[in-house]
Amino acid sequence: MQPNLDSLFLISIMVTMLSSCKNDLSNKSSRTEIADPSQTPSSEVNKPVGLNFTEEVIGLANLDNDSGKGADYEYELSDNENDLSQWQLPSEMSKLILNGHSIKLSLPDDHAQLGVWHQGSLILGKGSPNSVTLSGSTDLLLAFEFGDFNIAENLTIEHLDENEEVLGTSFLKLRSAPMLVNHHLQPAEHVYALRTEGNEALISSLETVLGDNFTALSSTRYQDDIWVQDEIEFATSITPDGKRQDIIIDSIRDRGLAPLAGDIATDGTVIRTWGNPNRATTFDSFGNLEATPPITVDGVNYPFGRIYYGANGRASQSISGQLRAALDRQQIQKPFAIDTSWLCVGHVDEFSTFIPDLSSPKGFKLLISDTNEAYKLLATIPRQTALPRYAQDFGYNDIGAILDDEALRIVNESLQTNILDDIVEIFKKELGLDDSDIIRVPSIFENDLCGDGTHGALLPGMVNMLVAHDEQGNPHLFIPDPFMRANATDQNTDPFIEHFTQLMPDDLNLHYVDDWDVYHMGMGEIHCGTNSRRTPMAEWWKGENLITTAREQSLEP
Amino acid sequence: MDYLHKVVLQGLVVLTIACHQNSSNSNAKLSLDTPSHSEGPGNLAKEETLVESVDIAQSARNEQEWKTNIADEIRKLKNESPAELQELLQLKPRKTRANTLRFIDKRLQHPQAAIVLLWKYAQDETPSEEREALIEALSRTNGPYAEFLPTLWASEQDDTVRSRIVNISRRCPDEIASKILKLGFEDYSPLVRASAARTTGKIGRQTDLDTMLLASLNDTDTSVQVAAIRSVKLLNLVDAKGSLDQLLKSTNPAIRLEALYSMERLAPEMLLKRSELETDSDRDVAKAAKRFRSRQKK
Repeated sequence: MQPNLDSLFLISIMVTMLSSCKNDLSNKSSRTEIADPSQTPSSEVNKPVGLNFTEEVIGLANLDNDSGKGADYEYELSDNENDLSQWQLPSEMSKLILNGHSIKLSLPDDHAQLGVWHQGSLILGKGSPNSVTLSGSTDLLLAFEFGDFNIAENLTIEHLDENEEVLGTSFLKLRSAPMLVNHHLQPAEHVYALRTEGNEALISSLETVLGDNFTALSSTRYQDDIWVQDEIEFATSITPDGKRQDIIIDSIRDRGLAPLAGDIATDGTVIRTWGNPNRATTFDSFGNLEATPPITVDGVNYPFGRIYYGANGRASQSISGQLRAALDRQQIQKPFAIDTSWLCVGHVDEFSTFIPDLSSPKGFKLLISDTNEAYKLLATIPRQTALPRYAQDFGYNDIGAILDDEALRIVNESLQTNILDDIVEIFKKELGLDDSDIIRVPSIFENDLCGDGTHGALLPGMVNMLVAHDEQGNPHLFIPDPFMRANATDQNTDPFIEHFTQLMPDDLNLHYVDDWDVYHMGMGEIHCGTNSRRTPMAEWWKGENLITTAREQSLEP
Repeated sequence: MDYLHKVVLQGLVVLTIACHQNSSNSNAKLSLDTPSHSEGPGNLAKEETLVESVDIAQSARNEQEWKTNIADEIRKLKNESPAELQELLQLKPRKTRANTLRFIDKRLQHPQAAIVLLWKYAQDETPSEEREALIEALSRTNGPYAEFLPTLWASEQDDTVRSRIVNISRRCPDEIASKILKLGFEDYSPLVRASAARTTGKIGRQTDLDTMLLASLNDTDTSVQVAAIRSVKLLNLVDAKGSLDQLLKSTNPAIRLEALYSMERLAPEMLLKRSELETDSDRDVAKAAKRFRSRQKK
């Protein structure tokens, strides 16, 4: 075949057509950059035309358990495998490969986290040589297997003639989808909480509002470990062709809820753990690992938001180094840390959260604990207002008793000045926020309970809430009832509820739930006791969304 | 006290403790019929202070006495309201989010809850983690637990439990709180001394305790120093100014930072003269110093 420029151009166009896969292994996503035929030197027009294209193949990490043995990438391919990404050389391109020609495939180095399969055999990566030459076949059908999230590598395809001279060089940009931690603007598909003695109000509220979108977990099965937020973190991985992989990051915390990830994983769900359970600290719980809503900061778009977690620079006061590194590798939700070592429990959900706000230019509001706001509000309430809940458990009989506790006031003033104000500044800087994006929620902390001077919520932490959606997709907030009132059964008389309600966007459905006995007195609140699987929304692979890194730029052929 | 005297006295203390432990161990289980206790007095590392502040033999007698009293109360409850006793005996702690034990139960409001908690505390098989939770729970009952705390203290060997006893003394009558806090300040464990320093900051000014708190500013343990620095701020203890000023020169940045925070309240005029803190090698200290100056300008 001696193609002229027109035919070469036609062939190049055809490369843009994605080949259909021959079996059910397909979840390929590809993008082709068309070679410019005008670049072919005129002196070479009469030579056989070599393969010259660039395509992108995006797939999922093969870390689910189709084989029934564990993370599939670690084992031989099973008959049930369905997470390999296939790519086939278009038939019109195949015609360029003449008798005697061969195809040399090579990766830049030995890839432990990438495997290339051909005709059922592993030919590159996963410990195999980093180059291989295929001859005698024009039917180039390759399958790619990724051993981790967010792998990016170029497969070089050299078209050789019978003298092993290079006729053309092409590239497949191979990429596995990153792992994306969910944020509160994603619709909650399903919520979990543990049913136990004393949390009837929360369970009832979730059942009533969320219906089939809620599951109450067994107290017996999970040894009454109510802190569902802390054991697992839901994430997703998606490809341009619509394939979705649910991911459960299983904490090294490993208390009673340790079996939860395996119990609730659906087919194809990846369960992944980073870190050593023997070295787990409270910072490794996932109330200490959250993601912000989508945000653009200084021109950099974070379509899936940014991850944030509690840490203070010391290894013993952060999520595990392995998990930190794994999250950093995803790049697209560039993590940042906030000091939580001042807290007894030490989790970011104790003082911050994000809620949807359609009326806001950014689409959300940051809610942050503010002790000054609490004292301002307390000053407006009659001093003699009895506080039965606080009287029994904290020794404050009425509003006046709280206001008169000078030590408590100073502790909270110091907390605001020396810590919470700094945290607000970090959020502003890392997310490009201004004051209009932030709602300051009245909060008071105490530092008696933990026994070491660190802090916990005295008032139920209203920021420590669940953001979820009902079966019709309506957003609901499940907020800890502050019980800052004399009549515990009459929420309408609670000035803190009234104030909080006024601060919230109109389109949200607010539910103030009694979480006092089981959660608040157990040093957590509603967010700590719940967890949500959510629907992924943005398209990370689109150019405007992709955070281009130096590594990716170096891969440009 | 000369050296020989000290040695002899310490030997006597050890012997007394050993005897007490032996006699207690023969009746290790506290029951309704034979109340007793197996643990001897703690704080072996600080015998001299113990001898000065605690009468060991009296403690042993007190220990028997309080357990007898609790056993009597339980027996009475058993006879009069067995169903209520049964309910209260079912009290058990939950794991908090911080992975500690805590009794979270409306039954703590029962008038006899404190007695049952003390009964549970007195059982030999009760582990220290649960004993700490029981002590914390006592503070949320309406029962007469305060009077028992000094005696509990004398027989409690676990640092975290003694630290918790100090912590809940805040809710006790002044006389009892003061007694426990003094013991706390003299404890060999920095955990307990820090708890004493912290709790003192919450209960208001008392001359004796103020003196001990001021001394704690120069404790050998950093956590005690930090607790003391914070508490002198809470108490507005201006007598601490000189010590705090010295602590601004500590080699430990955590101490410098806390001293700076306390000086902001107690002696801002002195702190203004410490401009070198704005270029402190520790980022947090320098930042706090600059923020202080900025606020002063406003």
